[in-house]
Amino acid sequence: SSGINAEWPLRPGLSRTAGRITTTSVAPTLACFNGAVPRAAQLHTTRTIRDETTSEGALMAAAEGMRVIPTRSQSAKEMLYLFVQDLCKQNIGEEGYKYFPFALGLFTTIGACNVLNLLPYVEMPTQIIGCTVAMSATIIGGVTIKCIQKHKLDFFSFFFPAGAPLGLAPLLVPVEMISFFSRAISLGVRLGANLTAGHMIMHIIADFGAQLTASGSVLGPVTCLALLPITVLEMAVAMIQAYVFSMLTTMYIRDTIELH
Amino acid sequence: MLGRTRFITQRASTLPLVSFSNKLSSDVSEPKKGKLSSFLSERTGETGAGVLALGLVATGVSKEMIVLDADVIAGSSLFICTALMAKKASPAIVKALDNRAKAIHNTMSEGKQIQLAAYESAIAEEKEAAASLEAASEIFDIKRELVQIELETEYRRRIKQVHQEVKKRLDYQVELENAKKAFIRDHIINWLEKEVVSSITAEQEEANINQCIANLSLLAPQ
Repeated sequence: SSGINAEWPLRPGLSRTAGRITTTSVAPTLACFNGAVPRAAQLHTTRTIRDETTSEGALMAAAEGMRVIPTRSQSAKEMLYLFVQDLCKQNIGEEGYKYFPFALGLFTTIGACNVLNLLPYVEMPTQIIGCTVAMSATIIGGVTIKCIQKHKLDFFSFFFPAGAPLGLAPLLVPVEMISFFSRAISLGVRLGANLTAGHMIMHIIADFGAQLTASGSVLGPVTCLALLPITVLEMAVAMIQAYVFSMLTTMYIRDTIELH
Repeated sequence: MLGRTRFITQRASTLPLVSFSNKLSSDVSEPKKGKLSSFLSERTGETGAGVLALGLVATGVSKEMIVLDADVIAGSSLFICTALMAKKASPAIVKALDNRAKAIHNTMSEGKQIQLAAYESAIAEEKEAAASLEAASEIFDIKRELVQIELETEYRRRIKQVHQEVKKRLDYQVELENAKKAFIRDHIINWLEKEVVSSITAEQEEANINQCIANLSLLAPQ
């Protein structure tokens, strides 16, 4: 729709048929690419006078300095890009091109916040359940509105699975409604609770180790050493939770498109 | 091709795969040791810096300048894990990234590689053809020699055949002559024998017989 040429660019920024992408959805993406956001913002400002929504200049500005044979950092960024691209293709399909910048921004932002959360004396928004639930509620709200826009009254067929006997409707429909709207909470709570729990475990073991070390016990250093595998686990959990959040978001978007 | 394109094309085999337009490859060098690290390593050896750091940390901890808080320990653990993971995983990650760049380079130069391979196989085929032509000239010489040998063999066979035929004829003539001579000899012998026999009288024969009887009686045992 809206004239988008749904051609997945093979190499980020190197295809001139990238389609119409708004800067607001691209900016978190562009933040990965050589810090070109300020220039992208300038170009967007100039371009919005001439072209209403086209921001190819922003994408090309981000692609400035990128090479056909990639450097190591560019290769790593491309692998991240392709990873999220595959996620969108698998879960949403060909129409997923529209939502790919959003998914990439979500993944990178949540991943970065989760990893930075591991630093001492730092608390990132993704650890605060209020923030994550607000994110997930916004996403589910947006997905619901989009679904209603697209499918109109057919949206409500979501609450009655195909093939189910009609007699079970009084039981099934409330259950399906609760499961649909509880997504808003479960998505955010999953992220926030995992990070909070991990942070809490690390804090407890570190505190225990610190107190034992201060008291001169031999177990102190041993406890501190036991923190190492837990730290590695938490680093893995940080990236996995970002992936899970993005994957579930793309799956909910697919439900919007396909309904069943 | 002009200018930079020509410059790059001529030196493509020696230039690195990835280059930076604002740097020369000679500028990209190993990082030089800082003044402090070279100062320490000259006076205290390789482990001097590590021992100094450990000593400073121990002093800080013992005098509670560095408070062993839960967050400090968690942060240290994070730092150690990150350093260990970077040390262990970075060679593999760097290798994977470099392989990816090489794969992209190979994909893009696939057409060129296919053309190069086609040219090389054409060159090899031409060389084979040239070598086979050389072998062919040797084969021609061998065949020429074989034909010469065959001609010689045939010539000698025919010579032998002629020799045998002539000998046969000459032998026939010799046999003929021998037969004639034998016939004449036999005829003469028979004529002589007949003449001698016809010339023997009755008296001579009787005398001969008597002589024979006398000899026999002498020889007979008593």
